Amino acid sequence: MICPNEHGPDVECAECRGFAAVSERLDEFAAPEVSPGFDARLYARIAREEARVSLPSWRRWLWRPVAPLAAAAAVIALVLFLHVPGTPDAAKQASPTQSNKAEIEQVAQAVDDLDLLTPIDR
Amino acid sequence: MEAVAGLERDAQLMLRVREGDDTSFGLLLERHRGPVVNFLYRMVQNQAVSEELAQEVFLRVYRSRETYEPTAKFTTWLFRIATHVALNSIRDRKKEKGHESLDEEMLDGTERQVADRQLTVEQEMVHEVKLREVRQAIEALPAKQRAAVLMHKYEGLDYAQIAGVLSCSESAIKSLLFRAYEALRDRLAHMA
Repeated sequence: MICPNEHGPDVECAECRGFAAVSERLDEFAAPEVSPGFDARLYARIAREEARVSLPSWRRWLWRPVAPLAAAAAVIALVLFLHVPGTPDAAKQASPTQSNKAEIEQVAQAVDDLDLLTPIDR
Repeated sequence: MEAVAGLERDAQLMLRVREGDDTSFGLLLERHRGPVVNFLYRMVQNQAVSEELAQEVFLRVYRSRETYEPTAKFTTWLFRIATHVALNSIRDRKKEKGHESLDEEMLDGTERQVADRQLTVEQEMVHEVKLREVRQAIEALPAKQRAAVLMHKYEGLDYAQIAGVLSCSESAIKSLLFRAYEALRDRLAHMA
């Protein structure tokens, strides 16, 4: 029980007795029983909210494994879009010699990488 | 591996709700429906409103299931939501004109099922008077003091939990509770 005086738990001062009496008065304030339809109303409310804000469950289930794949596909598409020949690119148009040189280097690198990936015949 | 085994039972249930187990939500509802409704009833002193607010509390719990993290005791988190909902309701009802008063509720014939007592008419009248005074004394407390007293007295939360609910230190809670109980003692001192 709350008491501003410092003493051990086994000691009861006048303040302790005063606050104990308050606590006893507060026991008069009983709360009523929860009404029988409480849970049903709650679940109905949850169902309404779920129906309003979320996708149908079968679509949610279908989308779950597809979402990361879709994100990866979007990134790959973006990369290809930026590097596909014929795509308007101001930098390439400004200095075609430099862009050709970059492409050659990229191809050379790709060939080197391919060599590394080719299994060694034993 | 997450130390699920070390978590309290309620937190474990809530983690299962996070994983999509609605049965666990039902178990949490079973365990905490009464305390939440009782707390809200004593805060707003209107049975219909308290149940509506309690539904809002559990709806928020369910809504937060996917992002739930057991950073505090489940009851601390639950009562933080309940206190927030109650304080908003008290503030909103103060702004409204002509909201239902205690007297109106006690006279409107709403059946309040309290603990079964075999009382004489005179005893019943005395009980009603005492009850009215206690309710008025609690209603007169500032909202945060009221919440702290109700959690401490009726719901058995300790100082650390109440501090977590009200986002303040334990020493601030002790001070808050002391002032609240002092105010109640002054108002109820005449009661035998």
